[in-house]
Amino acid sequence: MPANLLFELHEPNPAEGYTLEQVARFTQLPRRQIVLFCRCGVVAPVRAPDTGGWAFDDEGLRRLRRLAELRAAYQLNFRALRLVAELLDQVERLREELRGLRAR
Amino acid sequence: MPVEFKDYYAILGVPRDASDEDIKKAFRRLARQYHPDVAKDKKAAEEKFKEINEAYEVLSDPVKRRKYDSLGAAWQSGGAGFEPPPGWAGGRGAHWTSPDGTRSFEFHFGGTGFSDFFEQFFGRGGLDELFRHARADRGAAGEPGGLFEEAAGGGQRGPDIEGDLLVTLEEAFRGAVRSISLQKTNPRTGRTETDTFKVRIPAGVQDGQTIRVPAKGGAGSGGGPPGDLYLRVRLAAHPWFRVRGADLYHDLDLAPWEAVLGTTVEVPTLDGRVTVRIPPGSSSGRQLRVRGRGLPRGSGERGDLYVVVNIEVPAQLTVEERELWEQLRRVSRFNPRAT
Repeated sequence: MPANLLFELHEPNPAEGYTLEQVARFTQLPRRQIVLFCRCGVVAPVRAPDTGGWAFDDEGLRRLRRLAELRAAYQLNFRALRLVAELLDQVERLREELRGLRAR
Repeated sequence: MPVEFKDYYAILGVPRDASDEDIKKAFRRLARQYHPDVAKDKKAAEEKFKEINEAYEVLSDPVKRRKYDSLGAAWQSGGAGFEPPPGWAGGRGAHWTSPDGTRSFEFHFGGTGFSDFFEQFFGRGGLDELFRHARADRGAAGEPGGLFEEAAGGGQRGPDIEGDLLVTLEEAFRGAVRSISLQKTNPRTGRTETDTFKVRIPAGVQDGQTIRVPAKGGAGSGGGPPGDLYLRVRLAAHPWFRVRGADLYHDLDLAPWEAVLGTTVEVPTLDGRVTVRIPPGSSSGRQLRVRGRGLPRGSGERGDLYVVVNIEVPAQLTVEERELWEQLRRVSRFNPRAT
């Protein structure tokens, strides 16, 4: 067997997403804080409780960790955190749009 | 940790004062030549294709190009091992420091499709700086870690690492397995460890999508678990297609008479060529949809391919061609500026 087949293979996250319990374990954030982040709109789960239970994707986990860091560093309340998150999203969107325009 | 300087101008074969248009033309020419689907030596071509993409990513962006030019000037006056000028923003791109400043490490990626040089100075845009400042501010305020719950059994979870993953459109279309290596150096021991693993890129992956690789981030402390590695997918620029979500756009050059009279042409798709009928009277910018020939969507369906008409005019005319155009001017009642 070639040596490169021996390396561990990481498979993508399951299509149904991660549960709230899994996300709390992976991110080490309290479940209540994760729910608060979702309720204030800075993190969008791929599925909410009213449609069959919480489910998150990889990007949701990344955002949770990052925004929790920012919140702790600058003692941001949720309104400020939402503003920061929206601005960061806008920057990302504009960058993508610029890349698309430059490719024309 | 010195990195090898990349001469992006030499890679694209353009002078340092090349215009944006010259850079785009050079990229498209080289990307067609080295595209893994057409080159004979696919492995070598793939490496070259990614190198061309990296150079284009930096030189086609005015802000990145300006930064790169200032780095280039510093490099020319330095030695072989490139060290960034003091205080150069982004110079610690592959570096992590704990909030209390007691732990830090450098890391290098391999297999992401980007060079160490790109990772260090141009990876992840500028947003990482914001988060570095956040960590530094917490450290300066003397705050202990405590933001995240302690792991079962105690200890602090390790930091997450983020990096870009260059994915070709063909890989996004068919799915792929990529071998990634992550080299970390512990400044206290000076020991360098390399962790190599494979990551499956699912078919239909989109630009900007995050792929989480569990437990491949920085080591935890006090018995805490390691952090995660987050790879952000960056779709490589393609010589024939632009991407928007799951839809592809192909610019089709037409002669004026083809646009006026209509024609049928073969256009490339990611899975073979298709024949497209161009209706008579097609102006520049007209979009013709080829249903279901884009990238896969999560639902199992595929996006569409849009063929965008672009009318090219001949730069030089023979005597006979000029006479015919002049005759057309005399007889035509068409006025493109009529209200």
